[in-house]
Amino acid sequence: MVKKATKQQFLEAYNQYGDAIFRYCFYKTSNREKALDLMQDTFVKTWEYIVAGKKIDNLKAFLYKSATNLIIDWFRKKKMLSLDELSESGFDPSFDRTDRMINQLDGEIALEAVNLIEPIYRDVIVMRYVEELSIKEIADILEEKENNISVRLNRGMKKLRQVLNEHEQPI
Amino acid sequence: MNNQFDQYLKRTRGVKMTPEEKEKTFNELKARVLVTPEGTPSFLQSHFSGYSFQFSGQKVAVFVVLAILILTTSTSFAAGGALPGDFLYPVKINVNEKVEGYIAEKQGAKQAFEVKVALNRLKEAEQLQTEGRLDEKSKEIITTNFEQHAANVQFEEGLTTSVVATSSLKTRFQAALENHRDVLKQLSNLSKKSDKPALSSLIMVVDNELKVGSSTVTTAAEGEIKVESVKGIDEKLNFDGGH
Repeated sequence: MVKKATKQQFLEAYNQYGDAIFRYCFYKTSNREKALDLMQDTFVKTWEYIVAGKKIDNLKAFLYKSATNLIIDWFRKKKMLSLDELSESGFDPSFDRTDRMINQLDGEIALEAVNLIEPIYRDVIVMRYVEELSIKEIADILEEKENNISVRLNRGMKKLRQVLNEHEQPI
Repeated sequence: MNNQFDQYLKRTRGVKMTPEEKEKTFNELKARVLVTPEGTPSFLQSHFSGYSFQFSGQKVAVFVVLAILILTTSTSFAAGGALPGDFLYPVKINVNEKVEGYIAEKQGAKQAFEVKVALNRLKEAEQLQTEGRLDEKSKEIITTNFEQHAANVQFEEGLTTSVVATSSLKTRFQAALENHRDVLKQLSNLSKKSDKPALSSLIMVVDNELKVGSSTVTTAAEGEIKVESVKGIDEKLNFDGGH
């Protein structure tokens, strides 16, 4: 059972954060359809959590955390499937920039610059500057100390500057 | 670099759902939200809904404390909102409902009690499904208990004072079953693939009860007509002075 007010608040939260969660999922998966599915699953899981009577202190952070966990699960399944296929063809699935650069040819090329740096820096930059989350919120979502997030952000921006200078991105 | 980065940020933040995509997801979420029963969650629902029956050494101490609480009537009252899988659910079905059934029988309202309990099982299934907790085990508990009480509604004439009252109760029960079946179907449409088998089998059980119910309501209606016809003849004979 839930209160009527809670139902309204939840639907308002979708209107407020739906696009942000979708963008976050899209940035992580580079697949629009998958991003829509993951975004919807995020809100469904959050609703199930609320209906179970459990308390959420910060709904925004909770949504990002749920989305992150769903994305990790998806990657794990995808990795298991693709590793099987790749191993048969003899491909080494190490960190490879090719796929990310190919995204530049897509209509939706907004995320290619940040995709050219390591994931550990990429994530915090997107969360801080694109999603406009605070350091505290990012730390909560990624379950890291705030100091670590600040350091990572700083290093990530330096690497991004390097990439942008190297590729002379016309953005 | 700042200019490049600012432009990059502007374009990246522009990535969003189309209005159609946003509305589609909103409608699906809204449908899910609307089928959730409204009310204030009980203390136990909010604090013990995730409690499992697998006991560890640490949880045994908790169980001993709770066992003492169960002996008090306030705990029995608190068990009223428990769902299959909750710690106090056995208290609800083996204590609360048994006592209520006994009292109902004494008061001549046994059949109405059976209706209430059968419908409670369906409400529990709906609640569990919206919480994402309806699994095979809880579905089995619900189905078995529902079938037992539904059978009592359909075939037990009880202590109702007239065939007409029985027929009316059964008709209302049928209508309630149809509503619950529709809700379960809607929940099934919104559910994940893995949840569908449990919901489908529960919907089939409700459908079976509806089929059984439609034949017993007809039988009762025929009985009602027969009884009233007999009464009419008796009155006529009396009016005619026994001729």
